[in-house]
Amino acid sequence: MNIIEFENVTKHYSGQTALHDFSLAVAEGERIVILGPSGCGKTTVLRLLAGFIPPDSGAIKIAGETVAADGRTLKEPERRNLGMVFQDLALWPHLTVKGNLEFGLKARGVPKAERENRICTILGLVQMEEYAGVRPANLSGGQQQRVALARALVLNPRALLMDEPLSSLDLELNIRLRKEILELHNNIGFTLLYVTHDHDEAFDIGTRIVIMKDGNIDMAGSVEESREYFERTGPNLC
Amino acid sequence: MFITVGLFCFLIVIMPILVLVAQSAHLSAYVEAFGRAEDSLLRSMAYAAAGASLLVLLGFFSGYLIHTRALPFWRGVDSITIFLFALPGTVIGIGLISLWNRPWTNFIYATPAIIILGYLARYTALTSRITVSALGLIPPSMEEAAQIAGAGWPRRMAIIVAPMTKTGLALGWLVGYIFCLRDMGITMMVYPPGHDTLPVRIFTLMANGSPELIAALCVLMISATLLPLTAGGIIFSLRGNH
Repeated sequence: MNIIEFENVTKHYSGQTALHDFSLAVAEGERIVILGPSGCGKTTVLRLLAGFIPPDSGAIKIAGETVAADGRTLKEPERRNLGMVFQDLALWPHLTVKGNLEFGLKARGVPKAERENRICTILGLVQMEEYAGVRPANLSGGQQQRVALARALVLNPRALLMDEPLSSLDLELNIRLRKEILELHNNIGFTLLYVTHDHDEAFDIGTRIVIMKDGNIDMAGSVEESREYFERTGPNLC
Repeated sequence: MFITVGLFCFLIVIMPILVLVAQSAHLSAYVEAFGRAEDSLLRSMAYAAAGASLLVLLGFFSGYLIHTRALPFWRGVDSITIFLFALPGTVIGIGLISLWNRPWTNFIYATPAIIILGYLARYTALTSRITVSALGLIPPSMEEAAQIAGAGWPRRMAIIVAPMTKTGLALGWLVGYIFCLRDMGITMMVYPPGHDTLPVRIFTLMANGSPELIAALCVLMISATLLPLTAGGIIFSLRGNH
């Protein structure tokens, strides 16, 4: 079953085309990596899906329900039940790790006992149990990444959107966190849409790679097919 | 060069205040000042505090609207607040009188609410602009993260955005307090009987009060202005040390 569908979506910013006639279907549990250089429209795909911007034309569906179509937002971001890890992580600095995780659960009316249980479980999965009372500024870069991931996953989202979350980390930490994301995926089984410009990161994380160029899909296929594509075309896309 | 500038500042800023302090340097002057204007002083501070609090609230919403451009009329809100700030207080005062001086609106016009309305009309631009600056320091992803987590607008504002702009809001409150406290143009025009503020009382007493009394009232006015500034400075420095 497709959990996410983009149907001929077009988006312009100030006269510039960010996405043109973009179509993509994502099956439940799939790990899709959207790969491409800066300005190719990959972050726009996530922002459209999250509901922060409406498409100029075309439709976006989540679990079969049309959430945005032809310039109109039919379902607000807060009602789409998606999780997102932002490029800058966007951890709320005035809240503790637990406060960051609890915020969304409270907003969704989850009872206290269940909140505690879910926070405890997810912090255990990302190995951050002992940091529940710590504020983000007192955590290392890797720990902050884990908290951002836990904050998104504690809500049991229909899909997890990740916008270049590892781009600011050194290579060693980047590789370690890729493994942790995959372990979490094996444990929880969420649908993942992951945006990056890094080929190795894409090949490590994705089960399907969507290569974007100039606001549209240049190639979509398995990791092997993507490798062959890059061998044919070279690494530069734009 | 620096000595010349320092001397010039001393002459035009510090000296007038020192003259007031020297003129009022008698206990009897302060006893009389309190006797004749204690109620005005307390009212000034109360109205300024109420005005500043409402200005922060109104400025937060209009500043948010201007910053996010969430609604098409954001530019109109921005222009109107700045235009009202640029107008003389007497003009706004006359406008308020024309609007509210009616039998069925006496619950506003005959109470201090009319003074507070005047403050809001004139000074919202200050807190609005301070909020815009404070919001500019927060990455949009902070609110977006709250939104995708399932929080509606009121919850996002109360738990994420407002606490993250609290320094700006506190600064807005101080600026709002000072401007409300020193206001005379609007207050002079609209204050109901028995509700004058200290600047108005000083102005009316100037006609027949002794220079010592007027100087003492001015020093009280300076103290009322410095009180929250000093408190704010202490709080900020304590937070800085932590």
